Amino acid sequence: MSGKELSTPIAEVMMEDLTVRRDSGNLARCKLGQVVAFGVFWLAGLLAVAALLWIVGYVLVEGFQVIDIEFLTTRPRGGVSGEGGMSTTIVTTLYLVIFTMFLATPIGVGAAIYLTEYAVDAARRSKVLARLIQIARTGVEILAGVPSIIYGLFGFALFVVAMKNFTGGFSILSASLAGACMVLPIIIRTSEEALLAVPCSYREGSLALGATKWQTITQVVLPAALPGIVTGLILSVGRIVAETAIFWVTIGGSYRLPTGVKSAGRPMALHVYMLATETRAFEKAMGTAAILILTIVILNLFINLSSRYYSKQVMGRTQ
Amino acid sequence: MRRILFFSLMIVSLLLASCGSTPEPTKAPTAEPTKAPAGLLGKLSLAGSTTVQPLAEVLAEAFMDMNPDLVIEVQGGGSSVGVTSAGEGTVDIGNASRAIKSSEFEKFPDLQVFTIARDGIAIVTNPGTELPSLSVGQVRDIFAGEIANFSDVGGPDAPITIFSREEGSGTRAAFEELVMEHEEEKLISENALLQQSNGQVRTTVSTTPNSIGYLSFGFLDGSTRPVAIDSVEPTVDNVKNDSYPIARPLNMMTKGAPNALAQAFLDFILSDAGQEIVAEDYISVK
Amino acid sequence: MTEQQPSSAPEVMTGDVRRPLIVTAIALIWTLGAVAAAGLLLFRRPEEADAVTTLPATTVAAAVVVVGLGLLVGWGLWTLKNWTRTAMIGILGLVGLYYGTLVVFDTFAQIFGGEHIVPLLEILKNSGLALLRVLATGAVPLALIYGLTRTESHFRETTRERDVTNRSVWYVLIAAALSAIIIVLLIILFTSKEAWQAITGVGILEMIFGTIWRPGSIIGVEGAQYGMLPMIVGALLSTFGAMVLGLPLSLGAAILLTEVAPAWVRELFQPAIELLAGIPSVVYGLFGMVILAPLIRKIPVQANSGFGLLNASIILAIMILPTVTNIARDAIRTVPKAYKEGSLALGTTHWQTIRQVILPAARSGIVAAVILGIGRALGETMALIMVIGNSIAMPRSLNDNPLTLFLGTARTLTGNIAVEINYATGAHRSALFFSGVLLFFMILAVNSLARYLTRERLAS
Repeated sequence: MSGKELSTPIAEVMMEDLTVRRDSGNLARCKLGQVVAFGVFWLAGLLAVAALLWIVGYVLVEGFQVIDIEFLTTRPRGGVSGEGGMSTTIVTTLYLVIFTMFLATPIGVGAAIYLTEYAVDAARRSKVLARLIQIARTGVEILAGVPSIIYGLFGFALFVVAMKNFTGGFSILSASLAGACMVLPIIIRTSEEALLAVPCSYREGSLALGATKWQTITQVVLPAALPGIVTGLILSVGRIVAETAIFWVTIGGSYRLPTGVKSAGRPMALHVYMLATETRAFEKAMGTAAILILTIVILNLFINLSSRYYSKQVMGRTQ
Repeated sequence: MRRILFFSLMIVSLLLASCGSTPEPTKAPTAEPTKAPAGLLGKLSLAGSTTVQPLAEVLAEAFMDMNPDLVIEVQGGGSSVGVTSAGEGTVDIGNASRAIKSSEFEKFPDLQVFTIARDGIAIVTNPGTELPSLSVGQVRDIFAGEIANFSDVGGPDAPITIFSREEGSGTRAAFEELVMEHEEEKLISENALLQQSNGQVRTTVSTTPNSIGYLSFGFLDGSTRPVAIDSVEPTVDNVKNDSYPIARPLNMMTKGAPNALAQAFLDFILSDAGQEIVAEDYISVK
Repeated sequence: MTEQQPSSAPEVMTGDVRRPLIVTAIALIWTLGAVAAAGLLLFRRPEEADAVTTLPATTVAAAVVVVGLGLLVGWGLWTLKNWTRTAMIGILGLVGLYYGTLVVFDTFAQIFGGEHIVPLLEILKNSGLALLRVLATGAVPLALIYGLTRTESHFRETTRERDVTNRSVWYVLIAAALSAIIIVLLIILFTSKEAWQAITGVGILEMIFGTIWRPGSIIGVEGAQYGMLPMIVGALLSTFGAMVLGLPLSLGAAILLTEVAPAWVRELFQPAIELLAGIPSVVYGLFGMVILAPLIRKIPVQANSGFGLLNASIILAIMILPTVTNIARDAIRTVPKAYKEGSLALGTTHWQTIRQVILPAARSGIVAAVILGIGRALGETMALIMVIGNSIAMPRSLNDNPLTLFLGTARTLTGNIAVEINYATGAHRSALFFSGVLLFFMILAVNSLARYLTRERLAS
């Protein structure tokens, strides 16, 4: 059937119903247009992947030339040419991650539990509470969009300056507090999704057996939602490791081994920045960046594997 | 029976735990001490000029070798940060790579200043750019943006990319005072690319063709090409004999009299051993 | 072991209560000992040394509190109160976590302390030892927690106690839920407070529309000017450039992944794009400095330094790609299959279907994706300060060709804050906080717009 036959009035009317403008009817030209368009899309996709490969590949290749046991276990010695390794930055990053997650996880998971388990009943019971819950949810959405430099500025104003006596000024504690604010929306969102995905029948069964609401949550719902929550926690860890702007203004920048939560430090991402700009040790910057990227890749792998396990469990009801 | 087993297991692990637990807070393992420790204990914090920073770090390492239980932290931020932190007492010692202004003395009346070294500011270009000796006036006009091409001052025909420092920098302040206000007062061009430390200026000037910037002497390492001013090469000797015109003091400041640790550190810096370290890249005050 | 129902009658002790008593006794001793040790350690840290010698009262008070708590917990366990059991589990968990992390940190400090190179063998040995120590310190609280959870049936609670527990849980959780909005309010409060000096002293209009930024931290603040327009323009131009370069890329990739590519390609490209999202921004900055700058310098325009808006636009485009692609993908995927099938049934080609049926249907979602991408681009900091040049002048073209505007250098609002906050004082610092407030509300507006569009789409 050639394109010409499509140009009957009936076909035109049918086409118009869907507001699909008909080309001059030449099917071959339409196909050519499609080939070109699809070619453009493939190009876009390939360019995106190529950009990734170029960036990651360059950093990894350059970086791995520098990495050895010495680089990993000796500390930066500062100085004008960036001698030394990156060991203390690894420790600082670890401290930072652990403290930030320690601060953010209870609040985030607690908030998610409230929003999924208690909020519906509360909203039904009282208009005031319904409003409050709406405001709470809006708060989470707003917080999710705040850029990290604003968290840094806020952290600087509140934790570094105003609360100097408590946090020790530029310190891991200040940075963790600011970082906890930053990852809170991520944890709340992913935990909420994980909790919502637990089937109602679990809760109903538990309540039917005589457990209290709190017992149901802690012993039935939370364990079932745990993989999803852990995915969210790992996502947050990835965010903390990768962020620089927020810690640039709250953690100081000293490359010494931190001796406690009140000492300053230098996380890996900040070290990359300082090496790249202050010294001419680009290879070391690449090395640190390579370790950084490796960490992110491993975290991403965890996320992919755990979410695949999670969806299998929910779908296949392996328990 | 199972329960008794359970409880005895717990008691055993309790005993094990009390043996192996309660670890001390983290302490880096100390290397074998090479010198008899002078026994100073505590923490010293310094902040301020990025020019003084590498010098302070080297001095700190030497001092810490002599006192293994002492920790000295050096941070940057610029000379203004140094003055403010020292004046407010947020750090033990503040670093500045310029003279302290009267307005700052008004704000922090009990600021005490110790000059630990002298330093020259070199005008540097990218290694690919060769320039003859320049006058201070020409340098001023280049940085003001009025001279836009290297050919106007005897160099290759290329438009000039200017690298300067951020406003909190002591190096910039000293440069402005000694060069930009030379005979006529001009502002640094607003098209200058601003960097946040000597290190950044060195990195960018060395990798960007047709660029010019200014650096502390301590950062001259062959990656950038220094320019002679009034036919005087930027060397340590020329600053010592006052023939090189662009030089400034490197200062350490404290709020009031320095505390015991700070005093000990300052004494070390001003001693022969300390000034020897200073003289490696800067000009000692002795 | 006979099960005993929790009753609302006052507690009755029977012989079966003996065994959990052993549990509770050991738990009590261990907890008291651990808490006391933790307290001692806390007060023996070098940083706290001054605090101890000058405030003996605090130590005494702390000791009193610890003993008092111990007595309370002991009484609760003796009388088998359920809330004590829950509290014990919490305390034991925290203490176990504390000691476990101490061991981990200690080991890391030994390996990465950095004073000397640690050979691989020693790393393995230290890690093994650390694992053993973690097990030893963690095993006890774990065992006790296990014992406490398994003996739940022996503990009693009155209905009143249960109500109190449930109520307090409710209050704690709603506080957690409100934490996000509280933080938002704190952010607005603190940044506005710091910005107040600039708002009253310099004036909002002068700051937003002034074109000269010379805070004069050194020269003196009399002639200081705080015009942020160059930074606003810089931010807008870099975002615009990122859109021009990035939108075709992202939307093309989105359409590719939803409509055009076979499943195996989708499996391959998807994780790649997610990895792009996770790469730290400093790595992008490094890439821009080391690879893109020399490449851009090859463009034969005078005064082209390789740094500037083009460099920034390219990396920004790559950085927003995951965001825009993912949301656009979701938008396209939610278009009902019936639309596509109906259109194809009428004989249109796949491309015509996409162009004239699917994309218009997904329009609001795609627009939302674009707007979120704009928000992301406006908020980016570190990568940009490494490549954009940070000059304070209003961006302008390098020669007659207006396109060379993008080869010029600039500074963004975010970069302005990051670069100057460390040393700014007084009115200067206040002006920087004001730009932070400005940025916050700009991005809030952008994100709200995107959210509104998404909600509208879901509703319709």
